[in-house]
Amino acid sequence: MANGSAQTPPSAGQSDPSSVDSGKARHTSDRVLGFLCLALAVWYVFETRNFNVITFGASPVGPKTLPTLVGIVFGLLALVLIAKPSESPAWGSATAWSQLVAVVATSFMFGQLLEPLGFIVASAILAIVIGLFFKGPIRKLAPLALVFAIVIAFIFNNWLELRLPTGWWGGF
Amino acid sequence: MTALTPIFAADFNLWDGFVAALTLENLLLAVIGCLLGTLIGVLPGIGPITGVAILFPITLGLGLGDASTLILLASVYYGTQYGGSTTSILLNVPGEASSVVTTLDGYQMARQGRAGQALAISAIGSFIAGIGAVIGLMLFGPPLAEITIQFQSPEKFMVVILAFATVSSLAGKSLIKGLLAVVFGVMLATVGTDLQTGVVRYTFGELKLQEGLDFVIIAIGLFAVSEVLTLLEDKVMGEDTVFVKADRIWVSFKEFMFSLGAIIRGSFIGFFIGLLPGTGASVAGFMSYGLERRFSDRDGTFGKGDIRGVAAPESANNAAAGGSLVPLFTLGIPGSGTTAVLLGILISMGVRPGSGNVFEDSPELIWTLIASMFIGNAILLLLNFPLVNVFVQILKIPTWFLMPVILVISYIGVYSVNNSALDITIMTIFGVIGYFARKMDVPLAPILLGLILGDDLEQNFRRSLVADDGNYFTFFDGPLNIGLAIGVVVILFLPQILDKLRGGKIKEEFADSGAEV
Repeated sequence: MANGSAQTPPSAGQSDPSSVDSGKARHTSDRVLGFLCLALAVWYVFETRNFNVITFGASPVGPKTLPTLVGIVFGLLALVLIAKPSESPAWGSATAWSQLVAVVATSFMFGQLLEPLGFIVASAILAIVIGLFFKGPIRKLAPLALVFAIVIAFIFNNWLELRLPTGWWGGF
Repeated sequence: MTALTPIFAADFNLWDGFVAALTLENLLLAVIGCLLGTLIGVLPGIGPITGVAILFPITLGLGLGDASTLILLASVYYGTQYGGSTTSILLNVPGEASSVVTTLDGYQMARQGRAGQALAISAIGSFIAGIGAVIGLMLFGPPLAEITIQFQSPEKFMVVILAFATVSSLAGKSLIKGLLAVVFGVMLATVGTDLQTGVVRYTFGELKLQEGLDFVIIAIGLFAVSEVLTLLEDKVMGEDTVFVKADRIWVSFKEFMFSLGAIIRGSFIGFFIGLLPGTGASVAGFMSYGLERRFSDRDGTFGKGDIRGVAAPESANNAAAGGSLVPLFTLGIPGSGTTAVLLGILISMGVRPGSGNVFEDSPELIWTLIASMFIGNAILLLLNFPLVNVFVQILKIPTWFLMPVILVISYIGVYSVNNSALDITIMTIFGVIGYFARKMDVPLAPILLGLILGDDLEQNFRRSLVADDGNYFTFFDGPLNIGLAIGVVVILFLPQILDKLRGGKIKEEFADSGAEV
């Protein structure tokens, strides 16, 4: 695993608050995951009550049976994980986290902006923003991203039978 | 030779497969697939599964037939196997998990100015192993697939459980996390409208979710998007990547004969490891290298640039890729994330291995695909000799441009499936889930397999119970079911037992080889 071997440069010198704690904290990640899974399992099983099942006769199994079983198994596995957690990974620094959040936010934005802005503008923006997070020089990045978006749009619209959104201004 | 009968006597046989695969269109698709696959393979971090998953929605846009789509995607799959070894040799950076072990002797050879020989033997070994594996697939596939004729719903249910057990037991470091992953996948599969009753489940009132979650969208999110997020943290390569240049890619006849034994041994080991469901090409590479070293390293030359140390694992990982198609085509049990995606694609084409005999139900598709594997291997051999130095140039593309490109292509591919912005949101969510899963050693392939086979699991579960009045022992009724149940237990606990016996070594090898890819 390459994880942990190459952290982001800004944090390289500093200690990592989440991983270099006392011995107790080293299993936190798995426990948190376990409790999240447990919560999901409980919700998943109880959600079957909201299924709108109309029963015909007395069938031994319906649309609730498997989800209930699967949810219980998932919950039990989560309990095992909570009981026997393995060591936590080295989590990134605050910088790395904020970058991650920003990239995810940009991706969500892309989904929202794709249809109103059209493919070329939206994907050029996405490419530039992501490229900047990978420390790309804006002067090279911006024209490359635009050319790339135009080329992709051309390929999709002309060679593939796929229609990309043109945006409200009716461009590509 | 009764085993050969289905190959030549059926209505549609290997010969017809070749005729179909050799049309100009299919040949062109195979070349494109091999090229793209090699390029994807050369790029560290971007694995075969990402490549196949991203390209699948785009191929839908080409309006190809099912066989042509499969030819293209399968070519990408072999291409990545070839490309992955190139960077192992020239850069000491394995392009794929399956060629990690090639770095040991391959990079040493490159440093000694023998990069050309290393690349050549890797290509030749891969070719021989690839062809051998396809022959093995033809011999073992059809007779094994016959078993499925005896499968009723309970057996089909147990086969799916077996698939889940194998993939979660061998895919990661922790059995519990593997099992959590596969069950999570099944939970994802229950989202949408229940086919038998029309009951809507787990949709949060979202109309578009009633059709269920599309495995392609989940696959791209889990693998491709999370890869970008992981690299954001790691930043493995930059513009200053330096690599050894190979001047002339060739081996002398003498060197070839010297390596031939290693190639043949590697091919056999690889193929049989590939047959075991759940073990992928990366495990095969490690095993064959270890065995070859024990078998032929008399002067301690392994690890110092021994050509056999390249030949053995490179043959093994290709043979394993072929071997893993046997459980895939016969029982519907994929050994890796990539074959899980291939299974999802087959199911979306209405071909369901494990539920029926694909060699009889869909002979055109299967034999055309098998024929294209012969052709694909030949194309790769021809492409690699003159073009390796060209392929490596792709590494000069800086990460800051490559990552946005991958992300944009992923997003737009996903969007084009349903023209739905919601799909982009779902994919991003699974990208985040995939990122955390990678960090915490939760294997991704089981999630995907759970989603792909979850529906099958439930349908057979319900059919079995309805047929037997809710008697749960129906799943353990009859010799086949008991055999399958024993198989599940063995596969779940065998790695643990071996682990104890060998002091934790095997599990580490499986996990460190990144078997999730």
